[in-house]
Amino acid sequence: MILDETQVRAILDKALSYATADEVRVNLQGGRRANTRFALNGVTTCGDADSLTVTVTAGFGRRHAAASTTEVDDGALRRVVAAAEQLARIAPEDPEHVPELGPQQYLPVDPWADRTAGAVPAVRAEGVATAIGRAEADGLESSGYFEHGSEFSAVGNSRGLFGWSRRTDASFTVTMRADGGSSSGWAGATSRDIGEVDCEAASRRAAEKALAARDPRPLEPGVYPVILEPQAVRDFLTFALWCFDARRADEGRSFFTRPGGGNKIGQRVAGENITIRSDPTHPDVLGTRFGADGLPARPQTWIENGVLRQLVYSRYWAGKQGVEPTGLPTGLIVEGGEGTVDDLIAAADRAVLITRFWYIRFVDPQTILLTGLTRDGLFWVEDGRIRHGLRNFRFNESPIAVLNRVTGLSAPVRVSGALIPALAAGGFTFASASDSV
Amino acid sequence: MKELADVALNAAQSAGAEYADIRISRHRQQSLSAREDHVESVRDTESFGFGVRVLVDGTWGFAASSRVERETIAQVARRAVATAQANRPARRRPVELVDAPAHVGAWRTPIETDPFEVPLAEKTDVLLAANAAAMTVAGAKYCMSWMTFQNERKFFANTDGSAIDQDIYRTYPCLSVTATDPATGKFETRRADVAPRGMGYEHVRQADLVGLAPRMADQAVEKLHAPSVEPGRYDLILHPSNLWLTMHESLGHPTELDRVVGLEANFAGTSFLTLDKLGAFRYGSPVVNFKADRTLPTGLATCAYDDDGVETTEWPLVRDGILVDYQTIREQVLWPEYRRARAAAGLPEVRHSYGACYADSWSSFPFQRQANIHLEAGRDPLTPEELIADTERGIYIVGDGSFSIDQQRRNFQFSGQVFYEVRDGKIAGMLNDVAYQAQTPEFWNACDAICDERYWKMGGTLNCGKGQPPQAAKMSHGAAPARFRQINVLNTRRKV
Repeated sequence: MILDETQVRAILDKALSYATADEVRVNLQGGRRANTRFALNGVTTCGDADSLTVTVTAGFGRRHAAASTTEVDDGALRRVVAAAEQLARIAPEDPEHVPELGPQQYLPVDPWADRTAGAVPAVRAEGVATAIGRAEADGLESSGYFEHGSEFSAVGNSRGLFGWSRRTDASFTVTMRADGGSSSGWAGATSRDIGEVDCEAASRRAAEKALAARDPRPLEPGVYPVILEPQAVRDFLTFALWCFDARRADEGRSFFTRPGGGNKIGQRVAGENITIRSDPTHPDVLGTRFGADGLPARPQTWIENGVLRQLVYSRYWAGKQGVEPTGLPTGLIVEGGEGTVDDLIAAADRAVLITRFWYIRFVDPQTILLTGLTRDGLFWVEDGRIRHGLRNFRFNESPIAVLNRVTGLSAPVRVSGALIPALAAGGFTFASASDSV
Repeated sequence: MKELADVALNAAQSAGAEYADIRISRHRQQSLSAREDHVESVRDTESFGFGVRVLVDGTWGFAASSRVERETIAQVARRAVATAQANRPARRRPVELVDAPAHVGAWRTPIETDPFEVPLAEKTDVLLAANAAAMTVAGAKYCMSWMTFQNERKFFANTDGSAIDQDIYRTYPCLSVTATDPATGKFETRRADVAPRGMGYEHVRQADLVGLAPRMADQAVEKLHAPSVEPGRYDLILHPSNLWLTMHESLGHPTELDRVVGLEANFAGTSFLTLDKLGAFRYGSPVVNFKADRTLPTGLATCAYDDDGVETTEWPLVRDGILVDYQTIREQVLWPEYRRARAAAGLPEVRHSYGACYADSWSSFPFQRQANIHLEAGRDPLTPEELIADTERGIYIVGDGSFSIDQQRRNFQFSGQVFYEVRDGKIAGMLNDVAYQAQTPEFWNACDAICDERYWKMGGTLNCGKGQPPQAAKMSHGAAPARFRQINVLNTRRKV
């Protein structure tokens, strides 16, 4: 359930009043998430859950521990505070313990839409019916997922820090399959405002892809120019972003480790046309005001014109290195160019067009080598036009290598709470064929 | 609990549900982690709530809340009914549950020592001692060790008359050691082959992290200097600590009947093991036999009743290399395509679910998840040493590493923790940068030898993802070392 600032303060203050530890932090999170699933052109299952979680982190000197519960009555609050303190008292000393933050100033981040918070099951059922209607009209089989949530997050501690933040999100994804599963197409739409989630447009795109991908042809595995749609870029780049930890780099166990010692901040790691930043205040992303420790989220530039500008510094490691802590990226933005993925297609002599990826995993963290597969819409592009569908591929490729071969970028669009462009790249390694659809 | 459950079941039925069930569950987890010489994190979490699932005119409805009180329970039950009613116009095939006897009973994982009752200091001492043991090895630069304890206390009741109380425990202790070479920026990590198990603290004691740590450290250092593999075709000998994950992905998931018919097409995917293959498809060589089993002692998916309230059981999936069945839950057994496929394959009619239903939280919709699935040990006596002695040019792979498989579970690529070259029947030294890539049926048809039951061992996971929103299920997979002839091996070293 959504608790407003006043309700949250009452619970935090009560929990803090029960504490006897040197330092106590209380995190409170909750809200409602609801969903409807569909497959084989019919609704299948659904979900609708209210939740509320209180987490208490207690510290005695350098000893600390955390406990959490989903119950918030007085007795439960007392118990969870006592549990955290009991664990903290007997936990070994942590030489890396960092004292709690004092009061902080947070940016005015408020990704909230009343329409999403007030959405009823019929709104989801209507969106699902749109997809099913489209599928039936085109002789396709649809499956998908329509989800929305309204949630809050709060943090307070015994040093006077207080923060409260809320957000709404909605997303609709749909897969259309043709001819009993011989081809498929996928599309999605996402926004903080459920009213902006265009189920009809997503269903149309997925259906068009499934139909265009019929009778897919094989292509020999190898290195090909590619166009990655924004979802594929997001799938692929996420793994690189998980490697941005400064400590791991400084400790010599990251791609961002500089041989001989230190990290690669200031070095070129991508092509000049690549800039990756985060801005929690951007109106099209899902930002947050603070991290779990209460550290304010603020705009950051991670890669600027191909040069690594920043890595993720925790409060402990930042203190050790004498720099400012960054917190995790919130409100990711990959800078793009102009136009849409269609413009990249129109400009391509020959390329493999990738809708999205599946089952990406690290193969070698030293080079951020990833493996994974293409899925739900793989096409051969020649002389500026989509020519035909292709059978799927497994790839073994590094996002860092691809970011050094980017030849074109579309304008970024909303994908999973971030702003991401489609991109064209000069070479992408497909390792083997997959007959799966 | 029964009284609270009745509030939900009565409210749902009064609002128009033809079937309803409720799970009231408390999920406890304790997680401890230590790096090098200090404990990083000590965390206890507890989540308590309930979820009500209803059927209205053959349409599912579901709602859940963490407020376990009579009034909220009744409201939430009515909300579940309202959701089902809203979804009814977009429902195509009505949900029809196969008959299942009502059960009134209780079950608890047969643990020796409740891990939540073991003093914290005893646990952190083990972690710090393990790290210290690892760090004595020259070249071992970093060590992480951790323990996770889970307890799922779940009360299930349904309108068929079931009332079931289960108390499920799982324990996972492990460690990993990293060796680095500052001059080149190269680093290698060796994670121990300790699997999570449906056990209590006795699993920590048996796992002996302190004893394992120096060996893991030695292997991390050795890996750093091991020669890079020459790509090509090799006979692979896969240790159970590696094979469990390959089985999970290439047999466990494609035999989930919901995937087979297309219910997971938008995310987890479908399956290449289509219904026309039932009873006839040669999935593997004649030595390959797979069983699903939710009664297996210490298995992560082991319990007495699933989240449909069905008594758990064991059943064959692959017999002598042939696909003979799928994993099912109550709503799947009466699907006409499944019944037709069984009849066409000459398999007997089934009038019960196999009990493969699971929800990872009170707030999650229960659906079909993998059971414990195991590869039966070879029938003839065979030791790993004999298997290696019988192999001319191969690679022996221990531990699980990178893993990926396509959405119909055909094209896969797996790596491992450590790789040993087998030359002329002997281990010739460690290799590095190894991954194997194959198509599922070709791979299992290339299996020509499986060691006997003395070497049978379970792996498993606490985090198998499936569904939207994704749910984390837990299951074990047992196997004995097995050989696979002429599998494609890649070299994964790149320059960026």
